[in-house]
Amino acid sequence: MNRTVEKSDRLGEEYSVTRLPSGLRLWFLPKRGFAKKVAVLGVEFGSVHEAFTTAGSGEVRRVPAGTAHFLEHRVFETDRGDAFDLFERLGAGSNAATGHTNTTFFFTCTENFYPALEILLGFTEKIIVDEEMVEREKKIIIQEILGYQDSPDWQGFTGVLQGLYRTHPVRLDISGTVESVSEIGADTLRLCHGAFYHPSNVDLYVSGDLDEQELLEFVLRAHSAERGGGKAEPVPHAEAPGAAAKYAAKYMDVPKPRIFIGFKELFGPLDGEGLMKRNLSTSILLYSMFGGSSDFYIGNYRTGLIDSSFSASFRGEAEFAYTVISAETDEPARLRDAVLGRIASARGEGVPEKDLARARRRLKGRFLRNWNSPESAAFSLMFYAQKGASPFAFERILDSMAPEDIARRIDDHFDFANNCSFVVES
Amino acid sequence: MAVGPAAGDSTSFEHIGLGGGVNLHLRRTGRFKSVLVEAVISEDLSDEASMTALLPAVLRRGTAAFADLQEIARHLDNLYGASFSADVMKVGERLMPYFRIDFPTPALAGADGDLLGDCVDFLAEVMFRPRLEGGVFLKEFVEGEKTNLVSQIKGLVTDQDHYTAQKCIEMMCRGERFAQYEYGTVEDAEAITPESLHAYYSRLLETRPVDVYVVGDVDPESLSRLMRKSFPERKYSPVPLRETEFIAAPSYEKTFYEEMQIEQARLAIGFRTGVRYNDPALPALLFFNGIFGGFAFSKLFKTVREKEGLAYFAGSQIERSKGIMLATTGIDASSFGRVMDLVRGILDSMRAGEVSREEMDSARARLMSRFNSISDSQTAVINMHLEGMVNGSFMEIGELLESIGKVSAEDVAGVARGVRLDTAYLLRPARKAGGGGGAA
Repeated sequence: MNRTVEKSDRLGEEYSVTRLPSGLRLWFLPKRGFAKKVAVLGVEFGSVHEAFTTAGSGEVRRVPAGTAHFLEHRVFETDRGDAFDLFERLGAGSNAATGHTNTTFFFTCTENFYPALEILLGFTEKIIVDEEMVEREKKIIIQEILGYQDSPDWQGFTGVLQGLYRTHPVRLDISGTVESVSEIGADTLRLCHGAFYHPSNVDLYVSGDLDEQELLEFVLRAHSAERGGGKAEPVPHAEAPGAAAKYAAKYMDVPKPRIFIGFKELFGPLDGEGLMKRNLSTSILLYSMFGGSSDFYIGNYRTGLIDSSFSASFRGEAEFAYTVISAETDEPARLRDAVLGRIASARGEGVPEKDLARARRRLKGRFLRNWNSPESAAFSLMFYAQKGASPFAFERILDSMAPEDIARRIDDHFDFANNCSFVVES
Repeated sequence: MAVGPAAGDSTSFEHIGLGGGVNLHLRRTGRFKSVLVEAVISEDLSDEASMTALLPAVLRRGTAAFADLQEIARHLDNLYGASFSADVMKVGERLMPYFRIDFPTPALAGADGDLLGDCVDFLAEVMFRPRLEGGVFLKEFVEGEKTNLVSQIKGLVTDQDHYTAQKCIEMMCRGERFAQYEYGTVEDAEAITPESLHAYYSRLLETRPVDVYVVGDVDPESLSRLMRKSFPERKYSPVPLRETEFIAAPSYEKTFYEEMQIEQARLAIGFRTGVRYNDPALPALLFFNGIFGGFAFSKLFKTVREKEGLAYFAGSQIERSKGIMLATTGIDASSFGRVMDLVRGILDSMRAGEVSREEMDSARARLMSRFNSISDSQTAVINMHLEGMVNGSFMEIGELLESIGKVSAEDVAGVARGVRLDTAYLLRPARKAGGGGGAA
């Protein structure tokens, strides 16, 4: 077993990561004195993994949109009953979420940590599913989808991704559509569970006042069997340049229109540090240009073009990266012009170095807060680990970035050909 | 002036009176990487809610030392990304403006200068040294924030779950102050002027106590010295706050319907619980709510979602200061009758004592875990104390845990017999012109 430890003197924290014989990686950050204990299971299976080759067969399988999310729902059914109930009987609260690239399950508790951990680990072992269960779950998921259809923010967010991406499955709604979900059957779920919930495709993040040796021994016992096969290989996706649509709109009964201005970025392969560097430099850039202390934000807040709903955020993964700038505004067209104008001037003149320095100092202070509690620590470990970077490398990378590295992101990231504006209005 | 630490429990604060109605509550702990300072002004929820809600929004626009939003935002960036928020919170029939700053523990940030002093002073600056023009707030700030407040109130309809819950409360508590939405009404917001808001602000400062909570690695002596320096002497003649009106049971059951252009119907059902914060039956009410709809193993979630597949979410929560419970779900409008029958059935069964040992054990374990871990969260310890303040009595964690340990199934049935359905509010999709059949 390969165990590595990283320590941050400044944070006063250290964590270890151990690769178990089954292939599962165990991340542990002790938090002495806290009553709460947290375990998070991260499965590398998200909505973008709609085509993959299973280990050994080499055959490409395709599954309907919303499959990862559907599977997340069904994994809670265990041979001992509903996992929600099992957790609660132990006093643990639990939940799960599906994103573009990952599915996450977690519980928090103060007592009975190990019995709860056993339930969580069981999610990777097997899935109990038949057609009747699938049909019942469909009714629930369709209600969930209908709920999202009433949310202007969710509609705007998925709308702009569909406007940006021509073929990449990040354009698909994470929970699928009423139509795609109805195509999912028990065999689809079994196939995906076997393919993606393989220990070598799963990470476990634990934090709390726990003994590492005891934890390790428990996980080894509860998760000892070396499972055959291996993880599935997702089919990589290429994305052609140019947005699928320059403008798009959806009509909903909203008192004030909302605009979602997106940019997609196309790029070559990046390693973990490269990914983190790109994420940090883009965040600093976006904050300098559009953050709460920027000239753009302040000027347009004062005239009432935007309110505090204005936000600009970047999402960068190994295979896709995009920015979405969104706001409620009475004049979406004017706001769009203002945002694109700000980007055009930054492309010409750059961003003042003192603004970048302030953004950097802010980010540094905020990073500390990630380690405030067992919950935030476990999720922070996961956030960085899923990017393939060391969680404590943050500061070193932040310090190593030259202003030019950040300025270069303006040209690399903001390509007007890769821009789409999506408006939700009545 | 120090009152000294309250006895025993793990969430207790050290209370330091600073005079002039300012109370400092410090919980010194080295476990967090940041320090949270939150100042709360106690105020009644009233038909002035818009005024109460607008005040923090205007105060955070500019101060004597930091002329506008940009100067404030840059100052906060330089304080290692200290995050600052100013808003109102509704607890029972109080609507309390709060000002919260959260900054890295100075030693960890490697901060140059006095980060703690700067942050405490900034909080006081926003609360007590606003930017004025002719003795009142700037017109630009007031008008701008009025517009934002109005669009916030109007925007509630875009969050249908929250909207339906608020409408249910409004109809259920008609004639009670609790019916007020925490941001007030469009009409009231529009009528506010720089003069009226400033007069309200002056009255608030003269008559209402300010409680400042600090949770983090902070030395009590330097903190009280900093506070004395930054918080001004004020003319303070307190006016008693009103108590939250408690109605044990509704006079009759009501149902309201509204239509909107949406895909999914939302249902909120309001109950009077018959038990409020200071009641010895409170722990039993916590069990009742958990088993009824509060936890994932609850009867409501099990029946409506797992068994009948009628909804994605279905749950309940209690407002302990007011003595009400709200159950909410998102369904197909045609299931409305069925869901109401199920809800009544669940309540009847709990009144008849149909609570299993397993349900009791699960609820007990969840509640124990929740209250045992309060001190793990900076905001949770503060909120717990605030709730006690609103209700004029403080729950001691140790005692609470002890009573949770003793609650019996019969106690839960007893509480259930006092819970009364008051108001159902159904927000349903408007019929679309031209038909064309909805989704499956």
